[in-house]
Amino acid sequence: MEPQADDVLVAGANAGDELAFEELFNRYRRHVAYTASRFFAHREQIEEIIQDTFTKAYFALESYHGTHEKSFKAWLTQIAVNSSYDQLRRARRRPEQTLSDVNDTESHEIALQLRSAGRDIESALVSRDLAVKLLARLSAEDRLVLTLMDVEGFSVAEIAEMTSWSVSKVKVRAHRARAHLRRVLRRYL
Amino acid sequence: MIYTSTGWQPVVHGQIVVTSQGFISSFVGGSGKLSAPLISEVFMANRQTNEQLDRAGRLVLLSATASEAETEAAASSPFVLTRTRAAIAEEKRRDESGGWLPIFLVARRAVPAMALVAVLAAILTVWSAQLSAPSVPVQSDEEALFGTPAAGVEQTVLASRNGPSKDEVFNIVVDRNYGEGAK
Repeated sequence: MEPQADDVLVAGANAGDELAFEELFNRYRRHVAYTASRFFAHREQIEEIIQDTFTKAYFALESYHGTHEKSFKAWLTQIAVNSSYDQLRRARRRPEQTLSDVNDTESHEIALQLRSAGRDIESALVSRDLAVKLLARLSAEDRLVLTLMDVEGFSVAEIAEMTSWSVSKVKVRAHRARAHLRRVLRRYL
Repeated sequence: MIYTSTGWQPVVHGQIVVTSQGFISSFVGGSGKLSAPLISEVFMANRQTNEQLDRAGRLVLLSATASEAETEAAASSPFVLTRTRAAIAEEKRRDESGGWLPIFLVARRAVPAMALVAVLAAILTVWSAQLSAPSVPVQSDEEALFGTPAAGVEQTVLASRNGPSKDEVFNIVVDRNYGEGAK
């Protein structure tokens, strides 16, 4: 049996067909999980983003149908990125993860790891918890734009479309975010 | 500082002003103290530091992502769909019962504000009434017309106790020449 097209399933879900929505969920949950995994390191956080993304998508399905020229996957990615951004902002309001939590031993460890990385970034490794602590110093906007640009390799225009920001705002934000991250890391290099 | 033909000169407001000509001449052997190789060395070092920091930043960003195993575990969790359905049902229920709830919430906030406005209005009413009230005690009509004047104050008596009788009024109406006749 040939799989149904996304638009057919969206139309079915809009008409109240729960199975159609479940099929969309099963088809794209890995993709949403991958998007969330770029921003969050823990399984529970990724599950939360999956849930939030599909809940938002469910109530926004009507706005997708007939109005978006892009694919359902791209539309869902946009929702996933925005859900991740919201989650980053919420996490910033929680004071438990700050650089002040990095003790002297950890600082020494970070310095060693960063210096030993050299040019071979792909094979290098920084402890995940330490990386998360370092990145907690960045604002949600900085983290979002740097991850999309430097980790995912999206262009400025693509990020602008994804976040509904202007192209110039993305450029300025990326410049400031990079400068901010340099300042955070400078003490270890 | 500003670069002139005599070298770097201080500027009063403390900013560094560099003209393009002065800036370039400082590289090509003008009277500036920094030589071109030194400047380019500084720039190169800065660029290398920034590149190193950017590489380290990318490494940190990559290290803060979830592993493939963890991502797969989250994606294939059997509870995510159940939780998503529950979240959707909860959202629907909230939408349906949301007709009255926001009104109550707004009312709860509005009541203290309205009470405050009412108290302010009452205070203003009393205050304005006090301002517009006459400073002397209110007199009755009788006193206003026939009251005894205060010492040193002139008083105009507008009427007399010996007013015209009903018959006289009748005569006035009927006989227009009453006044002349009376004279």
